[in-house]
Amino acid sequence: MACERLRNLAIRGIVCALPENKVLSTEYYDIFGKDEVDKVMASAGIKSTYRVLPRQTASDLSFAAAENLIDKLAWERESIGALVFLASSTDYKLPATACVIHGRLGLSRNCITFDVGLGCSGFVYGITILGSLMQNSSIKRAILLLGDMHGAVKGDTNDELLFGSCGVAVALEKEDGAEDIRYLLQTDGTRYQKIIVPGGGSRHRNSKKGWQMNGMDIFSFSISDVVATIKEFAQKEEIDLNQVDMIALHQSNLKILRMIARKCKVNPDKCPVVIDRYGNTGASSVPLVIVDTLAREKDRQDKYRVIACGYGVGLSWGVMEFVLDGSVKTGMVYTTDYFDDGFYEEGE
Amino acid sequence: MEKEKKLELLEEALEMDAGTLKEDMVLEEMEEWNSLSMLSLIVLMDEEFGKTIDSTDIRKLVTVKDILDMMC
Repeated sequence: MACERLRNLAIRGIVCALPENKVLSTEYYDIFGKDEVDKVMASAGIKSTYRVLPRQTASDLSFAAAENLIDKLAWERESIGALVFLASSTDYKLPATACVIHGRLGLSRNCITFDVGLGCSGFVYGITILGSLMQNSSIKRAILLLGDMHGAVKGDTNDELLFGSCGVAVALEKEDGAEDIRYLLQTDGTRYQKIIVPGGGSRHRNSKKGWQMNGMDIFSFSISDVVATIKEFAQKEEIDLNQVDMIALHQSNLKILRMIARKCKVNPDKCPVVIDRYGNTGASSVPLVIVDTLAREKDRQDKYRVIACGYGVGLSWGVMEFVLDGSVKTGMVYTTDYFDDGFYEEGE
Repeated sequence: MEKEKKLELLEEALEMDAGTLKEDMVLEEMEEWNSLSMLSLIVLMDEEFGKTIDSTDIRKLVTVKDILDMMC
């Protein structure tokens, strides 16, 4: 497949929101034993994660991020023509979480609003979906929300050590003459079982079977299929990966990040690592890398070239190249807020 | 590739001392055969032999010789 392009479109801002609840990996010593926790910490590289507070959801985090972003950009709420919430954790089976957030944000009736059910590939997919929608309409401004959540320390499986919560808002705006956003997206549905939550959906409606991941096969997928796609994209688009300013890789596992950099023959300094502080935050992880890294690069140049790559549940993955200009607004907020929808029962 | 060279690569991947790995060793009985070393084997096969292996391939392995046979 050829690489595609989004034209006349700019990323104006990215804000990440974290729950005010930091959990150190060492707090799991009592649950899984020191040896096991140390082994996972060494391999995956995770020292701490942020976990949602009771009643807090991925949508609450994304909402906090969106409020902050809209303020930073001083956008009139009426001017936002589309809102997408892309997450693996929605508030309800119905309605779409995006509609709830639309109401909370006070957006216009003319704003096209819907959810997308993807995970770690979400940033590149979400920008493609919204950007394509904008190119074929009169919509000038849109907001992409990404979120993932993991709750209180439970200790059901040691997979819990790997994941954290985060919500993100990304602002997109039409801009004549903006540099093209180039992308290559992929799917392999034959491997859908490699990361799955079988219970609770319509097929197994009475089952409580939770999160399952075949770590070995996901490792194999990450260092073969994902690397092949990055290389194909760079070759077709004639991009020298070592000449871009940042390669924002989905933060799945430190070992995988190092392998991807090595196999793509890129300087590891080009691929920032934030998994040590936040864990794997699903769809939020690529923008979290970007925001965290830009916060530490005060003297960055006006045209900051980024390669973003998300990969995971689906299996779904993709790579995208775009330029952030000097005026891009970024930020990180911490929140304890949650939305009281009036349905809470006592003790919930 | 010579058998000795393959054993050497495997010892390195499994973080074992040189000369300690024998081809009739049963993987299940080896202390060094764990989830992390399985990932190292995936990397070794990918980097040295250009082969993508997954959990299905790994489950079929019984002895060190099975790994050596795959290394081509």
